Amino acid sequence: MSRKTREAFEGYVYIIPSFIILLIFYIIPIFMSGYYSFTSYSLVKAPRFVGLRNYMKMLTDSYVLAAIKNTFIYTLVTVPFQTILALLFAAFLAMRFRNWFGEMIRSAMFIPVIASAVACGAVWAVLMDTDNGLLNFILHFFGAKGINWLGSSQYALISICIVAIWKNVGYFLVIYYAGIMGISRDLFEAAEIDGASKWQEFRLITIPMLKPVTYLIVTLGIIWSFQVFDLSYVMTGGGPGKSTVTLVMDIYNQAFKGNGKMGYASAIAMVLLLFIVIVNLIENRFFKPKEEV
Amino acid sequence: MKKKVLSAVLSAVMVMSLSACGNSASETQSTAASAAPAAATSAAAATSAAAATSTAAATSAAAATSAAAAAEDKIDATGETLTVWMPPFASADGSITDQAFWERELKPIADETGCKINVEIVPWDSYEEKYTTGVNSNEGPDIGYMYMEMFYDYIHNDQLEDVDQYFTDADKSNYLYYDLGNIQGGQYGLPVVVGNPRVLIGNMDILSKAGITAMPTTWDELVTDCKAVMEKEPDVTPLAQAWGNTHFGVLNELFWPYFWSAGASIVDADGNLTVDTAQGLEAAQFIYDLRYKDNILNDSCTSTDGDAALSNFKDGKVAFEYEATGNATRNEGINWSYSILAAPEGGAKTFVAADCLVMLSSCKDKPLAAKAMKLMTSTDVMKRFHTEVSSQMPITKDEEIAADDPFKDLYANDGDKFQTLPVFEGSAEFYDYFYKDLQSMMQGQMKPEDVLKDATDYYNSNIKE
Repeated sequence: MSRKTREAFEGYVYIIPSFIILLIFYIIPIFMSGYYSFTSYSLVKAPRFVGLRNYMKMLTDSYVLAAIKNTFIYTLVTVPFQTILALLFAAFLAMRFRNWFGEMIRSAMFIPVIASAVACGAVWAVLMDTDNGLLNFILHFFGAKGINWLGSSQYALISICIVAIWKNVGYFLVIYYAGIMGISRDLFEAAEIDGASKWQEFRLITIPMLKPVTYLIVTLGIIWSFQVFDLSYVMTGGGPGKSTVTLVMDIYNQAFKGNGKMGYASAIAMVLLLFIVIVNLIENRFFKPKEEV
Repeated sequence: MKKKVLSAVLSAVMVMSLSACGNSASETQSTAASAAPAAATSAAAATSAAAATSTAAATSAAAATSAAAAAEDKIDATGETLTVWMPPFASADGSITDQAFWERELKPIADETGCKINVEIVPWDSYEEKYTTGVNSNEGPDIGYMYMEMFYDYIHNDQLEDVDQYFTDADKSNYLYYDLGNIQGGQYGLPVVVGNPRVLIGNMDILSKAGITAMPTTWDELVTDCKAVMEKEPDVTPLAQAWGNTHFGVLNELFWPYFWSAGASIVDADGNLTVDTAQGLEAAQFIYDLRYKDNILNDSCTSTDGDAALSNFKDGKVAFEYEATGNATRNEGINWSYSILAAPEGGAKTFVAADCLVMLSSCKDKPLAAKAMKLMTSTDVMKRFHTEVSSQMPITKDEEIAADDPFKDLYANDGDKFQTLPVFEGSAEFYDYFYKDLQSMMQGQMKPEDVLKDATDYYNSNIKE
């Protein structure tokens, strides 16, 4: 065995454990789901091949169409807001509070990340209660009219987006903060000597140097957003009307409630997978930094 | 070199451990696989045995009596485990938990037969999912508790046992609602919580300040009384409706009583959906008008859930609300009364639960399970259930309604006003969709006629196979 072959063999030995896990828990289920999406399958009865029927049914299913629309709106709202807020908070803390206070703020903002989404949803549902909630109490205190946060189709999805942003921003803040700390101080000192303002430093040094981090954060944000389920399930159950139904909620309902339509649920899951792949391909094409991360 | 050897050994250990896991899993799978056919065979045998017994029962009463008598016999179930899944009914501040109650009540079975009783209380918010995943993965209970929306699929997938053969004529005659468990041509359920009828509850102190001395009995009277409350007590919510609930079960209070009062029915005898009728429209239009014509309901009704409505009623902030009788009895400190409303051209109707104990087909010791079901629905156990856990209507002739039960007259005289949900294909999915459409209606995004048409179209094209 040549040295090159031996090294390659050793490499494969190292990746085999991870590969087996990926194979069992990710790759095989994806292919199984793909197969089931072409069947009528209800867990109890053997799958029966139905061709494209599940996919055709989706085209006229107002529930699925509403879920697709809501999932895209949710993604379009949460991803930009949580990315920008995390960047601003991280830059502010890195510039002004590289001390115990900054650490405390970072830790406090990370608490929602480790808290259960179900618990967060339940607490926010109370805070957003139209008649007795804290948010409307504050609005009334300042003379403003209360908002029907979760009871109106107009606001319900946005309310869930607000909670999601609140929950996620701490995680992305920590990543951004680490990225900012990794930028060489020389660049900022040189900019200061050249008379650059703080805003120019942020715009012309910090943001460009964080491009690989931003790429990671946007990618994660998009994937998480497409998978939104728990907050919507706990806070509104998909209502009022179909205003907060999401794709994953529909997959869950189809698979585990009522008839247990695993075949149809698998078809919706494959569409979700397709959306995520397409969006990430677009992102890769236009936003992926040229250098390797 | 040492590092290479060490890393190779570590890699080998990792791979071996995974392989070991894989082997173990394969063994388990293989055991499960070999057990599955055995279980299937046994289930098939049991099913055919049951079918045979059932057929025999149809032709020979003696055979049925013998099967029922077998369930009465002393059973040796040493080493067996009887798993029972029940929903929660006890209030958080009650004297006993559901778990403790059922463990205590089933202990005599364990003592007599030597079996182990495993009681699990399944929360309402994940109830159907727990059954779907548990039963379909052969991890379900021997005895379960199902409501009408759940039955269709389990019956049509042969997952429930027809329990009729385990009950003697004497047993049956003592049950008040035994026939309600006869669903889709078989005795797949044994009614256990029959009742909890939904009634209109009124705060009589608030009503008397508005000059109202008696509860309304018709839709028109309700509107008139609510308007009187709005005029005399502007800080009070005249009628609380929890359209903000996340589960369609709230339709049992918010919609079906009006729907049935108007003379409508959800499905016909062939299982075809019949909500889109003139009577159905009358009910939907009435609810719509409460919001948009009479302004009795405000826009926060779509964010109010059942707990908030109940809490506001207890705090004296609400004049009327629909409530289950089991919850209404907890309105301590409030001078309340109740009624069932009648539509202008119809009779008074309201929802009543007919939840049943069921025996899963996968149950290995069916006579043992039947014995436990009999015990659980026996007069003594039910008496204690109704006093210690949840106040409900009696289900056996031997049990008397408590003299101080505020709904004594209702239970005794108004049985003809009670209606249960029908069992039909995809009912849970339909109710969920219909509820969401009604929520849209309550926000002014859909008209009543559009709701009925859209829900019917969706059911026929997307739910019904």
